[in-house]
Amino acid sequence: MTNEELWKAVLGEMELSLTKANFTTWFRNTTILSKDKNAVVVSVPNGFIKEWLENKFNKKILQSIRNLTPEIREIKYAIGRPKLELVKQDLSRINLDTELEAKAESDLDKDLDKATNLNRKYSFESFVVGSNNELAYAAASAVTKNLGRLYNPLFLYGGVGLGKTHLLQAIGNKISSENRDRKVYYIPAERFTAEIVEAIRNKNIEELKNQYAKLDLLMIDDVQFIAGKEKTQDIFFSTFNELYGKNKQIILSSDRPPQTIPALEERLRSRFQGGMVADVGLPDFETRLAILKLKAAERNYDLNLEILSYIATHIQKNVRELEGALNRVVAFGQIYNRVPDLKEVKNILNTYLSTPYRKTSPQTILKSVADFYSISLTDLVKRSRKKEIVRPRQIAMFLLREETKLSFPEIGQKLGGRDHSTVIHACEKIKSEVSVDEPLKQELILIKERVYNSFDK
Amino acid sequence: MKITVNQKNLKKALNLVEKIVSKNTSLPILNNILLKTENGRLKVSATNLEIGINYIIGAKIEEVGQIAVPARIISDFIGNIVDDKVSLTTKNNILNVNSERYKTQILGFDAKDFPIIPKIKSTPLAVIPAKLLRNSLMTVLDSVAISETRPELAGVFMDFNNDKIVFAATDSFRLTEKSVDFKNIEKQSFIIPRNTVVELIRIAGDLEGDMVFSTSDNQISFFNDDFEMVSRIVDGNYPDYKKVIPEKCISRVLIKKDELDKTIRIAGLFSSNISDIRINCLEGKMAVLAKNSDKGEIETLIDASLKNQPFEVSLNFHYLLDGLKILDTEKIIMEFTGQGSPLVIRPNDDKKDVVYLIMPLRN
Repeated sequence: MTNEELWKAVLGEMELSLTKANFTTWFRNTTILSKDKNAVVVSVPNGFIKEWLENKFNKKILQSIRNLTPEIREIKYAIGRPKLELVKQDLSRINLDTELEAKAESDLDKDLDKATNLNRKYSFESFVVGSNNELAYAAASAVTKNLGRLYNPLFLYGGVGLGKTHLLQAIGNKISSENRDRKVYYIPAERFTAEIVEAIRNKNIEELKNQYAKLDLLMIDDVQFIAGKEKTQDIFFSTFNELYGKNKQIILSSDRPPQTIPALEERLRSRFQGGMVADVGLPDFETRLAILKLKAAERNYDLNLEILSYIATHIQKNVRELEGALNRVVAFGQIYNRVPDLKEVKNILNTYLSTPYRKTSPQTILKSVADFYSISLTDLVKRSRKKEIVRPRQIAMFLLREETKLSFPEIGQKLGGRDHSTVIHACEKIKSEVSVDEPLKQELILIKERVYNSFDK
Repeated sequence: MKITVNQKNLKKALNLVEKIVSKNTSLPILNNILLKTENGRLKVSATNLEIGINYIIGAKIEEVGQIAVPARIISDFIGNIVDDKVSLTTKNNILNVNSERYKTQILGFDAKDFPIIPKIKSTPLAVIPAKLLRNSLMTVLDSVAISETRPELAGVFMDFNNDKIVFAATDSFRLTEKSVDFKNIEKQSFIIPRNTVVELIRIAGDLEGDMVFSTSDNQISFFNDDFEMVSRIVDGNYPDYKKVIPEKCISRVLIKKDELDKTIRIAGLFSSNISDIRINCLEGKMAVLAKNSDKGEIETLIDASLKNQPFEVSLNFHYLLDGLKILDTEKIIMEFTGQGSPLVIRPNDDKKDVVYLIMPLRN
């Protein structure tokens, strides 16, 4: 038995008999330094821990060591020298600030390309294509083959964690790896706004515009965030026109289609729709399974189909969560050095999945609808028959019916004492429209997302 | 335990040790102060497992014993009462604190759970007057790195060498070195963590006389008759900072400290978000400039005597003020050592015991 194994066994035993806080406080960073015939030297990080182990835990530790190696009679404790060899630094200048900066950069640098702002880990190869994202994928790969001419602008939209950013960055990486001279730039919309604010403050807005005008490919992620920011939209508009006029590629992503982004100037909206609009939807079961297989292979970790399909069946809404769940399983496997079986996997993912069943309340639905359309709750239940209120009201009725299964008269009651036939009409109307009206479908998805999210608050 | 103590002494002891008690939720016993009778006196201890402090006060002991009590409660209570004498008795982990006017029961913990503060057995290394230690540490404290990204910089380097004790600290943007003459000491060096230094400065302000210190096994202890503080030492080698201190300078300015201090403070008002000001040294004059696109700009001229050629340098004004603060001469010397190399500030005296370096900002 090696020293490590012996100590691991002791730790295992101690962990059971102590509280977690106690265990981590007193046993963290301890190891067996050496072992001879009848004594063991345990290295501890500092004097406090030495005293404590010597005086309080010595008996227990000795006992558990002797269970395994009975010839040991004594434990000595030594305050450990640092195990990590500290690299001797030649500090020829205190100008470490540059060194520190350089270090911080190099950490990020591994993946992050400074000039383009792209993360190299995203590629087309690691993107799993399914029926949900075929169109977006095809459009994206077409764009890389025919930059600026085929689909310009390319507008990708879809929910959280479904791979918009992945596609965007994959395009950028492909383009810049094929031809280093091409000026590619990826920026999240929030950073874009921040850059503009900074430029306004430093009075070099023209410089910024010129910088953008030189690009061959501009990608703006989460473009919905520029909604309501007039100056940003203004500058974006002129940049857009400039690039578009020169046949330079523009790619945008958003969590909803252009026509449903509120507070977006009309001239921008129409431009967004002018190129190619593709959606990235929820992955179906097969796609989820394929994603899991790919990710497990990336980690060099072999899991059987049963476990993967368990994960894929239970996590449906979000690729990022899917990966998180897989990570947990892999981490478990690495700690215990074996492949977990299905029962253990269920256990591991329990916390992930066991979001207690929560009933959707009519109130949250009404509130989400009102918030989404920026109208007040009272308007929703009042008698007003203005178009901009009637529509949300009908959607609210539809959702109440779908999500809470309230009866028609009850729904009517909730919305200001309306007749049940009004409600029936609304539900049927929306239901028939959903099948043909794509933006409406998206709106409903977004509202539902809000409803579900409101549980977490 | 059954003892009687003087309220003032107990208050002082609690004040001294209480500051290192942190709110530790994972190990609640660390929020306590240990009261223990020892050799006919009362020992008051606290620890955060990085630093441990013991302070011993006189007491009339009728029955020995020990208890751990929550630090906040006992120190706030003792700090606020006015009665002269306090009697402390324990029963079943409850501390009864009674005095002329008060009858109090404080719920405590079993003293057996309280961490043992290690004893350092090696021979004492040196004896330093507490005030001198405090002043030296105060001089270099500002330069200690606050971030723990490089643990060896997050402490004060003490070097016992050649009849001198050298205190040094740097956060890689500035550096302070202070040396104190000291006869007959053994060659040795170590890094004391920042928190320990802060505590030591605070405590040494309340203590008279000398402070002894000794080290062993990654631990250092400072003690005198009534007081003992044990702390870890930072692992690792301190960078060879001596190389950074330039030996030659290109230009040298002699300037009145107070005037410069005031000028810099005013210029600081107009510095930009990176706190930069510019110093432009000309023949007989020094111009201090600052410019901020939001606020405006300023230029101040003050008298200075320059040797050799004029120079211009841009600096973080906070660092400069920190440097001026630690010098106690009427005039100070500023040395320019070239573009991109540090600006050196020294007191205008013959002792040469303090050196302060600032890296200029690149523009």
